This record gives sequence, structure tokens and C-alpha cells, in this order.
Amino acid sequence: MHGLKTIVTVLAMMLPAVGIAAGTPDRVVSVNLCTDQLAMLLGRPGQLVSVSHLSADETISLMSAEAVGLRINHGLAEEIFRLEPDLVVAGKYTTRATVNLLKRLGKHVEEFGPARSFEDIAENTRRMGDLLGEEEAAERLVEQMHLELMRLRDEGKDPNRPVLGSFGTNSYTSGAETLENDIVGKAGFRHLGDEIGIRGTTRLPLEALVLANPDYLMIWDRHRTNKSRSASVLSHPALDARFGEERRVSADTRYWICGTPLAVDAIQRLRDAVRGSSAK
Amino acid sequence: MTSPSSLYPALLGTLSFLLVGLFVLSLGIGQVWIDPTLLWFSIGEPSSAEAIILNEIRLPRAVLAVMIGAILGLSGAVLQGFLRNPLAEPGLLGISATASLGAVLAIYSGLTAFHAYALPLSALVGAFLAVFLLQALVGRTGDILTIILAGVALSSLSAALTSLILNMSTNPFAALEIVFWMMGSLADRSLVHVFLAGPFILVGGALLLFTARALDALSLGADVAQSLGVSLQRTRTITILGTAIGVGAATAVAGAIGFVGLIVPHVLRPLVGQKPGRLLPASALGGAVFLLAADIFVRVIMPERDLKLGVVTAILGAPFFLWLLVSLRRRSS
Repeated sequence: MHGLKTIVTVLAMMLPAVGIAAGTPDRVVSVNLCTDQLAMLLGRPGQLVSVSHLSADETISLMSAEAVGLRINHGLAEEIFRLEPDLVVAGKYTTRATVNLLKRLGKHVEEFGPARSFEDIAENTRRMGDLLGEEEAAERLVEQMHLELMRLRDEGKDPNRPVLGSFGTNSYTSGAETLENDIVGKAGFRHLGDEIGIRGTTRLPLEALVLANPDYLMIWDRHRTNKSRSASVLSHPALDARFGEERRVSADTRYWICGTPLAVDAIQRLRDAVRGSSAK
Repeated sequence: MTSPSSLYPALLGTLSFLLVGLFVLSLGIGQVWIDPTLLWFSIGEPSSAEAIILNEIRLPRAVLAVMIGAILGLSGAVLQGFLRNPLAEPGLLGISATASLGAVLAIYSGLTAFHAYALPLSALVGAFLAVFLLQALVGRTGDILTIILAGVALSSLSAALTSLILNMSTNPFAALEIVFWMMGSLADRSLVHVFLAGPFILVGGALLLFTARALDALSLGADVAQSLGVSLQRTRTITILGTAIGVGAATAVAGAIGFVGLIVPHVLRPLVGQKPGRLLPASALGGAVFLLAADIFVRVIMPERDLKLGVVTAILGAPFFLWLLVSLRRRSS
């Protein structure tokens, strides 16, 4: 009796894997804003069943229009399980408990690390293509992105390029090994976080920002207009005293927040924004 | 052997001296050391990075630490004197927590968008409700256990409601603020916050200092106090209003910082003698000194991390509270 039970359990756990091997998944659920967008870019019609609620939010998602026809999930194990997915794509650092539980329940879960560069984006895009059985579409997207990157390439690596840094709610900024770093570098600027030895995304006290004195200060427009206490530091008088209009750059978070091929647009947008500010 | 009363001017002098010293140190210490005298030459017209940091970041921080520390220490001393309860303190009684709740309500209901003063006013209403409720619950008995348990219930409820509002808010940054409202911080506050909270803290502080004579009389017992012409009802009203106005405004800009009002009066009481009235100015000074020191401490040990002030005051305060409980039991047995 006991032996039979074990065999049934093992078989049940193998079933989804067998399904994948036989073909491509038919019911894909994504629970992370960035995997949502990759899957929406690559999935064939009807393949992607559900995306996270963040993707439907037009203030942070570039593809909120595409998310309209899909089921919206909130990253909770129960609702995802009931969607009967044969593949769940998730971020590596979000909804951990859900991912672990889904794995225990025998679901096929694939986790994506955050993209820290355009190279990571190419890799993640290809991987999503492989998983969805859309290798060619993925290759085309990656190729397009590389062409665009070539076109935008910044020839002269002038060591005196202006320094540009970001500042967000709760005084957060980014440094080396982030997508932001790659975008800022490719747009032709030195990155503040990089210059002062920050890796990843971390808190930068207001004092340190005033002392570091970057040539341009990039503030996310979504943060600037926010009414929370977290955002109040962005209207601190010390910032106004130090960084005039001509040194403020406003950026659209949606292009920076996720490592998808769409992030390539952030480069030209940043250059235009800086040119616009300098003219003030 | 000198009596505490002859030591009193010396005590106030020492505390004032410490206050000035720590205030100057608080201006100098941060990411980098900045000569505090630069403030004098650059005031009103800061141009260099150092001058901007001193004027716009460190000065408001130090001023807020002094004001908030003073009102917390003072309200602790008044509450302990009036309730004749050694464990009374705005943090433990849930007054700070309800003030936080009021502040959070004002921010996320959009009230602060109408008028900036909606923030301290709403926190003040929260604090007022807490003091009023406590008074109603505890009544005349002033039983130590009842009042502390009522405070625990109020604190938990307010903390839960604060979390609820922050979690329900559609604002994506709201949920990240829970720690700030529970633990408090003075990091990156500006002169705007000084002007928001300052007037209220001054009014609340003045009201609380006004109770000194009544508290002295009360220490001889309620009947004696009444025969001396002290109106219990009036003292109660002043205590409630002063605490609500002062602690409410302080919490609105810095979050709930606990234990200051507990530790400071207890440390100073043996030094001023058993006169509750005299304890008030000393506790205000002592509270300011304590909070300035705690705020310097969080900057020295973790300059990048924005360690919350309430963490430091609780780490110092909670063991003190336990010790106090034990020694109270020993005294009563």
C-alpha cells in the first residue's frame, strides 16, 4: 500500500515535466512584473494565461494595455494553483513563499534573476523564448535590441563625461551591477553610484548626495509627485538649494524598472531629458 | 552631605552644558565632519555643499532632537507625577502610537495635500484620544497595572490600524513606512518639519510646565492638594492637552519614539529630591540631552543605514523598564 502511494506520488510529480518534454507549455502564469512583460512579448496568443497585478498598472508597466485581456494574479499560491498552469515564471527574489509552495505542489516553476545589464536582458529573453517554445521570436527581439544598442553607441569615452545619479523615495540610489548603471553608461554619462563605490541599490543619505554633487540628478517622475512620507525627501530644501532646474532630470520609471528589450528606449530618453534640462 | 535642593541649580547647569555640547556635536557629526562654526558664517545664505548640509539637513535634525526629546522627557515626568504611577510614559501608554496613527491617516487620506498643518493636527487628535481614553478607563484609581495594560492594548491597536492603513493604501511606497511610524527617525528632516512641529511642541511644553505647582501638592495626596487650592480637574485638563499637543506634534514629524519619557525622569528623580515640580524642567533638559545623544549614536554606528531612533531608545529602555518593575515589586513587598 505504502509503496503504491509513493509510486503514484512520484508519477504525479513527474507529470508536468513530461508535459514540458513533449511540447511547449499551454498555460503559462507569470507572477513578476518583469517576467510578465517578457512573456507578453514572446508568448503566442492564448499561451500566457495570467500576469501579475503590477503589469496592469500603467504607471509602472509599459504593457498595461496588453495585460487587459489576461487574468490578473497577486502572486498568491492558491489563485495560481487554481489557474492550473503547466509553467509558472517568477522573479528570483519576489514571492518566495509562493514559489516554494508551488514547487512543493509539483508545479513547474522557472525563476528569473533581475537583469543587471543589457547582456542579462538578452540572456533572459532567450531563456523565456526557450521555455515558451518561441526561440525564433526571442532571437529576433535580441537582435533588434543589439542593433538599437549599436545605433545608440557612444563613441568617445571622455573621462570627463558628466556624472549622473538617481535619487528615489527613502533616499535610494543605484550603483554598479545594476541595469540603471548600464543604461546611464550607454547614454554617455558616468554613473554617480559607480563613482562613489556603491554596488546594487542602496540608501544614499541626503548629506552624501549633496557632498557627492553629481552634475545631473535623476528623479523618477512617479516618485516626485508621490504624496507619501517616503517621497518627502525628494522635496527637501537641501535638494532645491543644491540642484537647480538645469541639473534635474526626470525619468520614466517604466523603462528602467525591468530588464526587457524595451529598456533600450531609456537610453535615448535619458539623453533627450538631459539636453532638455541643460537648456533651462 | 549636600541635600538635593542645593544641587538643583548645579544639575540644571550641567544638563544645559551637556545640551549645548551635544547640539554642537550633532551639527558636526554625519557622513563627514563639518566644522559647526561654519553655520554662523553661512546662515541664511548657504553656498557650499558643507554650508547647505549644515543649514538644511543637520540644523533641523539637531533642533528637532532637542524639541522632541524635551517634550517626551517632560510629558513622562508630568504623567508620572499626575497619575502617581512610575511607569507612565507617552510611548508605553500608547499615546505615541495613536499619534502615529493620526499622522498616517492625515497623509494617506490626502488631508496633508490641503494644508501642511493637517499632519501635526491629525496626530494631535490621535494623541488626545489616547490620553482621554486612558483617563476614562483608569479613572480615579490610578492602578499601575490597569493603566499599563490599557496602554498595551492601545499601542497594539494603533500599531495594527497604522499597518492596516499603510497596507491598504494604493500608494506603492506606503507599506515601506511601517517601521518609521513604529520606531521613529530624524534622518533627513528639514526646517519645514521644525516649523510644522515647533509651535505645537512649545505650546504643549508650556502647558505641561504649568502643572509643576499642582504636582508638588499632589505628591502629598489628592485631599491635601485640594485643601491647598489645587484643582484636580484643571490639572487633569492641562495634562491631557499639553501631552496631546506636544507628543502629537513630535510624533507627526519623527514617528513614535519610546522610553525617553520613562528613563529620563527616573534617572533624574533622585537628583532633584522628591519634588515632582522640580523634576519637570530637569526632565525636559534631560530628554533633549538623551535624544540628541541617541541620534548622534545612530549616525556614528551606522551612517548609511538610517538605523531607527526608537531601536536605540528601546534597547536602552526596555531593560530599564524591567528593572523598574522588579524594584517596584521589591519596594511594595
